[in-house]
Amino acid sequence: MQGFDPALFEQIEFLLLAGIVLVLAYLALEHKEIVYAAFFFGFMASFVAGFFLLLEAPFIAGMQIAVYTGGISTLIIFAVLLLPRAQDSTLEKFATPRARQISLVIAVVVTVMTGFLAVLFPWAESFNEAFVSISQDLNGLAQWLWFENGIYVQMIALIMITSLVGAISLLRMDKAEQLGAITGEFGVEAKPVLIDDLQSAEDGQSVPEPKEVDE
Amino acid sequence: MMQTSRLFLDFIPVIIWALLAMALVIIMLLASWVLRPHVLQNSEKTSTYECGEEPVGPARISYPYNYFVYTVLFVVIDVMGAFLWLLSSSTLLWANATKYEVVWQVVVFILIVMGGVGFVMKMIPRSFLDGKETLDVYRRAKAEREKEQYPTGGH
Repeated sequence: MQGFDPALFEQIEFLLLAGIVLVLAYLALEHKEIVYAAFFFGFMASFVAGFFLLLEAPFIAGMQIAVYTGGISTLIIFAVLLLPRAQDSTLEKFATPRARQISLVIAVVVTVMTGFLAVLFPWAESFNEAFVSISQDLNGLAQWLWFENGIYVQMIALIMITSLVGAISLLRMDKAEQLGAITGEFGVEAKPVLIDDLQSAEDGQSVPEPKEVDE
Repeated sequence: MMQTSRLFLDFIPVIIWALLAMALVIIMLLASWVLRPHVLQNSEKTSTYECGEEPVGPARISYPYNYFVYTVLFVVIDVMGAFLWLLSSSTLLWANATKYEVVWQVVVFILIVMGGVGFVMKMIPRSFLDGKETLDVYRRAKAEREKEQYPTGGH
């Protein structure tokens, strides 16, 4: 690139990425079809990986694509498919115009405060030179993560199994709820004779317990 | 030049491939739009296709929530894979300075995660609504109801 300032090139890359990410994030929030919104979230997550490439951190970029684009967007798409209730979400509807105005004001305040913080924060002083060398060096990164901060890896494992146990306990609660419906009015008030024993019941014989369903 | 060997520039082929992939999709969609016959749409044509059957109810039904656990499992294995991949691309496990300490951490990490996965694989079948169990609950409820109706022992 003759006669082209590489620093300017980096700025252009960042602005391009930031613009794309903002547009995709807006679409992920506001798209009418929630499945499309989930896909836009996945695209947004993969463009965020571009930020990490700009910051010279290939491992984090790969992890971003593997976990967010691969894992989290699959999770969201599955959640949407399994819960049709989520497809007509009323989260964005405000009860009254007043509630809408209040939330708009809160959103503006949070945005302005975040902007101030981003401008005022001493980014240059908080920059740790030691991390620059390990961000590109997988061996150093592995040493930092597994050897020096190994306890956090174990904590991540514990958090992950918490999510698994939580998912299972939610399913058990859901099942107990569904079984509870059987003992309610509908189940008990159903015909006292099972359908396949109707003939023998009408004949006036004693009704044996059906055996074939027990096996 | 330090600046021209930036990591981001190494990924320009990826961007080119992504653009080519997008172009392929757009060209295929356009081509199918050009090539297909544009017939009048009616309610028969736009209705859900169910192998010649009359469609019953909406197409978007609720699947059992239990399948959701499989995606949670996928995310967990995904994160575990990322950590272990980082480990495998380093020399931690055969450098003498680190290997005796790190190997125990790896063992504990894998045991925790695989313990969680094994727990889920054991519990998923029990979390599904079992026909046998449903029948059991139903019969017990029926027996209780009958006991209420004929407290003296029935006929």
